[in-house]
Amino acid sequence: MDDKNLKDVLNTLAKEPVPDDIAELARKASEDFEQQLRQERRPNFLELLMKNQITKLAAAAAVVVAALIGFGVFTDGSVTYAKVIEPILSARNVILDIVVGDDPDAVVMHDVVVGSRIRRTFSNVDNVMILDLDNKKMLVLYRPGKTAIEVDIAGTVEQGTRDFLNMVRNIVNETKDNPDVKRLAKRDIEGRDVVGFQLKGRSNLTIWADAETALPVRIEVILGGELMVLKNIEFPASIDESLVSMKPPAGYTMQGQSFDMTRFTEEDFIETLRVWAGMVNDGVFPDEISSEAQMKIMPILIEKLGQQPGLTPEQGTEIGVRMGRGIIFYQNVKQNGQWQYTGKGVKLGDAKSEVCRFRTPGSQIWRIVYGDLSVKDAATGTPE
Amino acid sequence: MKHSERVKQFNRIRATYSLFLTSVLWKLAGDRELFAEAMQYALLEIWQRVEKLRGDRAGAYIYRIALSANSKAWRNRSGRNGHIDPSLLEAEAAQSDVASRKETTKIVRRAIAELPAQQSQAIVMRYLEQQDYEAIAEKLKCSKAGARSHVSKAMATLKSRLVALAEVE
Repeated sequence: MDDKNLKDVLNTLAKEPVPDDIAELARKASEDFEQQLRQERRPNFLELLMKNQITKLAAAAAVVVAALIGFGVFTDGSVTYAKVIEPILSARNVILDIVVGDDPDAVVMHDVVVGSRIRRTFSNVDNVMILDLDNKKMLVLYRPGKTAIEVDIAGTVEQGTRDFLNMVRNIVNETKDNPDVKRLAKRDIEGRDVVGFQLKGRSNLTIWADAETALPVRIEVILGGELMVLKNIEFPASIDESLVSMKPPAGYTMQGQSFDMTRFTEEDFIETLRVWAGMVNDGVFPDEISSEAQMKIMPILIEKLGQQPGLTPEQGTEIGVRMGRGIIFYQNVKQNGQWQYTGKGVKLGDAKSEVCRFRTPGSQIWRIVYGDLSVKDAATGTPE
Repeated sequence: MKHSERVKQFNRIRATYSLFLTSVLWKLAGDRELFAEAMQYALLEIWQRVEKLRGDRAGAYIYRIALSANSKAWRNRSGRNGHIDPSLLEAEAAQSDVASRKETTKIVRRAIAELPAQQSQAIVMRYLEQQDYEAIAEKLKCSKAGARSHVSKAMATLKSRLVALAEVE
């Protein structure tokens, strides 16, 4: 194509008016999105859950099982909605990958779900987590050290996972009463021909299913302004139950101490900052604090913990668990209280520089954290 | 920023830039479904970056968001291996001039979506939005000569992409 032809095409594009139906579609998409942001306000623990990587994973698995209960049948083409949801509704066993956001470098979480037990691995750390929701316990297997750790997940982590399932069910029910369900054109996803169904309600949910087998292969959910992608979904008839056994495999040593993921305090958060800046980030506070960023630095943390002379496995685990608790504390503040972060580049130990200030939900007092990790009260949320 | 403040800020941005977003995304997509997907990505990106979208820099940010959203939508359409779903092209396969022009336009749109961010921005501003080089220089934070150079390089890259795509198709 020569220069003139190309410019002609570009000129044609420039002059192309926006059809009325497209303008209307844009207006509606924009309004729906805004409406969703307003409606996505949830009880605290649930918002907390949605932002927490650990529980989000279990929650995402629940989406597969529960997302489509109560829907009608859409008969348009050979792959019907009923066919697509059938394995989802009936499956006790599900295997899938979950990615939060659309960052190509995002950490991939892989789940093997067998009833109320979930085996979870991550793309960037060599740990296995097995959640037993019925007994409110989590078994962590640290493969390089052949160490097993038991964590109590009663409360937020366990209950939040179950409540997420209910939340998704509610979303689906609301969509059922207001069926704005669209069948999307055929598409190629990783070499497979797929058809899509888009459901709009309190959240946007898109399900892509194999055009021949009707099995769902990818689910995209936008909740609270955050995109979650469930992919590589399989529904195996059976899964080796030993994969979700709460007994450590042969050769593993069970740590004597059990750990607690049932409470989340300011002290946990301060310790998180201390470890993040001091151990992971060479004495400087990070560019940002977020659960996604925390996930990305986990391999560095594990490596650095291994380099600490005299640190026992129990102490190392305690640090990891506290970081998880600290991040949950932060998410609660960010979602339900008020939060400002100014710590980028501040050196650990700098008593004059502010790292962050926050107000916990319901509190009138701001807490200011400085570079030396001292914390002071303030009446205002406006940084200097 | 509190959630309620973020929502307010989001709505301010939505009101200010909705016409621009609709116009640019439609010109770049030219397809209802692709447009809807790009729009969703753009709204999501605006929401996630709402704190940064203040003051004079907001306009330039929105540009980048729109072009990035368009690229993502096209990438999804093309599949991970970069091959466009043949069924999407079948409807255009009739051998009339109109169909041929439509096909060419679609390939140009796809090639724009695959350009590096700054180059696609230069093309969109210069040819789709028909802005002068002074305005482009302001948005790209460079001199007028720099803006001309960006547009020129972008056109060269676009032409080479078109050659490559024509060979694939």
